[in-house]
Amino acid sequence: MPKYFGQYGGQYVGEVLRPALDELAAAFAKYSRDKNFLAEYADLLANYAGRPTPLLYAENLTRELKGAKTYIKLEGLANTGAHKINNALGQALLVKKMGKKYVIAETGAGQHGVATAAACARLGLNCEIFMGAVDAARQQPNVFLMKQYGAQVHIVNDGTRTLKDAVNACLKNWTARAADTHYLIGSALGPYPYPDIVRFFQSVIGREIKQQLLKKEKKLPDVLIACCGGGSNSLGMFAPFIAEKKTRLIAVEAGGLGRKAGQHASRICSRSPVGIIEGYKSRFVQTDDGQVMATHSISAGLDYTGIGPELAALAEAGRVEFTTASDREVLKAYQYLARTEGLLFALESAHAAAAALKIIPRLPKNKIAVLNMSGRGDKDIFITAAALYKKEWTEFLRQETERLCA
Amino acid sequence: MRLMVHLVAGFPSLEGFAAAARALRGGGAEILEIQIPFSDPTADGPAITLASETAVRGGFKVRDIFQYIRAARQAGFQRIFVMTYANIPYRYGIKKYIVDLKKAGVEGLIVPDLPLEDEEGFYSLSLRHGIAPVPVAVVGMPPDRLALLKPYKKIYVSLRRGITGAETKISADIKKFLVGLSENHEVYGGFGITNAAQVKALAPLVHAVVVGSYFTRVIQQAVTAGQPIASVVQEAIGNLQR
Repeated sequence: MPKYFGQYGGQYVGEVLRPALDELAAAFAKYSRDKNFLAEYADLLANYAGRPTPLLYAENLTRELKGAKTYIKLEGLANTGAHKINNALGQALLVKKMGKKYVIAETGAGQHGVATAAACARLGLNCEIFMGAVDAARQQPNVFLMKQYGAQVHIVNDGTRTLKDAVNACLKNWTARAADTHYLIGSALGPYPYPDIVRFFQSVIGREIKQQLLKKEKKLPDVLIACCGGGSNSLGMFAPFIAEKKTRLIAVEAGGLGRKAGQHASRICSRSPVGIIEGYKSRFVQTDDGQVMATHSISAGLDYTGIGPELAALAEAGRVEFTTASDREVLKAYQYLARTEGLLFALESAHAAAAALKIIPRLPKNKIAVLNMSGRGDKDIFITAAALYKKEWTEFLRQETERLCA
Repeated sequence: MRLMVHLVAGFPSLEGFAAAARALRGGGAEILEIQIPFSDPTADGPAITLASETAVRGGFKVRDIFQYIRAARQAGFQRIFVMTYANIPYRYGIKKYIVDLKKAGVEGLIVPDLPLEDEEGFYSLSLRHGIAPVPVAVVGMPPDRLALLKPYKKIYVSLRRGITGAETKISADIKKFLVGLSENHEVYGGFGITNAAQVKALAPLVHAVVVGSYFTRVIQQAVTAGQPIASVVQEAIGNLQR
């Protein structure tokens, strides 16, 4: 297992966290090869998460765009509404094997928090979720859901009050209690061995696509498209194809409102510099001085300041192509997929859809593209409705408030 | 009894920092640890996190650290250590960081998230340029990790597994660890020191007692209440030595 991916990755943590990371690396090395563990995990994926998720032939979209034949991987149909459950279940099961009783996790969009809370409920672990105040405010439905699964939700008011601050709060909390507590990281980043663990549990996405497409088309895909924040769904989709040199891998970052500092969350396309932050070396949106900068995205799950180290290395090697989608393009793609295919994309996943709408028409009809719908968009109704039907939605909220306060 | 006190550069301002430094030196502190503020301080409690945020938002640039070192010197500190997180020296250039701070007369450098495996060459480059790299050790480190501390004279010990700022009790375990480490190293021990009883108990076991977030908290309270920093800090350091 590599500690580094090219120049990226590593384990930049204080001495205080070393024992917990060493213990985790040892447990992962053992159980990721343990037949019983893998069987138990497979059972959870099949009967609890609802895998395999479908690979839908997007017939209407293909007809309208007149380009590559397009399939959509419906990760949003997994239990809890996104791919995040794959990793949450895997790590939660690992926690049980390690004999720890408490799980802490950070969350941005809330999807990883919901998945972790659900996985912990299912496996009988105590769960605490750290969430930035800004994210909690715009993802209140997910805060509610986490609580329903029995998780305690800590609102983080430090710094920019978004995902990076939740990560910091979690790291600090873990420092004080690592002996009986596991920090369940949801993205393919953080100090070693997290990038390896998250890739391992998420690569079920890519493996299923491979099998499903071989069955349907008797060939491998020509293009894969996924959105990319920290990188858990993109790396999970791409990992089994990295060695398949003919398959193009395209990751879509949050273009936000524009290219200016603070308006986007693009690390690769914005040529953000290398840094060492939150335990790993990668590309981060930061000032020349090395201070992390504020980011923006319409989706809470893509506004993280860093990118997983393996993806940074794959970008540098030219193996994964990077592009961006703006907030406006994302909303359009969200509406388009809902009307064309009857699929409600999460705003994160709608970044992949927005890029696909530009890429697919330029590809010949004999090519096959797969788009990852990493999550479904129910959770975003307070953002999408406010953006698309401002007047009606405001009126609805006003009436609801009146009714509740009456 | 030797105190190593801590202030965040850029907080609350150069003047406020200088006033605090003078009060600390006047109150008998021998060593000053200056923290370069970073946006994501993963090992700090709420007080230093907030002070760092305030400093960064207030426009603090890493090169400003030299003004703060000068101010500390003018306040009478001859022993100055600089602490920050890995990304700051990494972006500044590890070697340039070491050389420039050595030139500024700094005695030692603390970067808690640069591991002892000499990541980025920080430890070996520091030794080569005659400035002490100060690893952060924790009580209960396994022997193979303890062995990595050998080349370094000065060692910072985190007395509590956790973030800075919460209360610390000095147990038999900690005593044994500090005494053992002090045989071959100059030990700076702290994390969570807030009262004279703790200082008195710890002082015989270490080269210097580290008082970290205590003064930042006191300065924050002074700023909020509109009180003069000098007198508030003077009183606070007095309280530690009663």
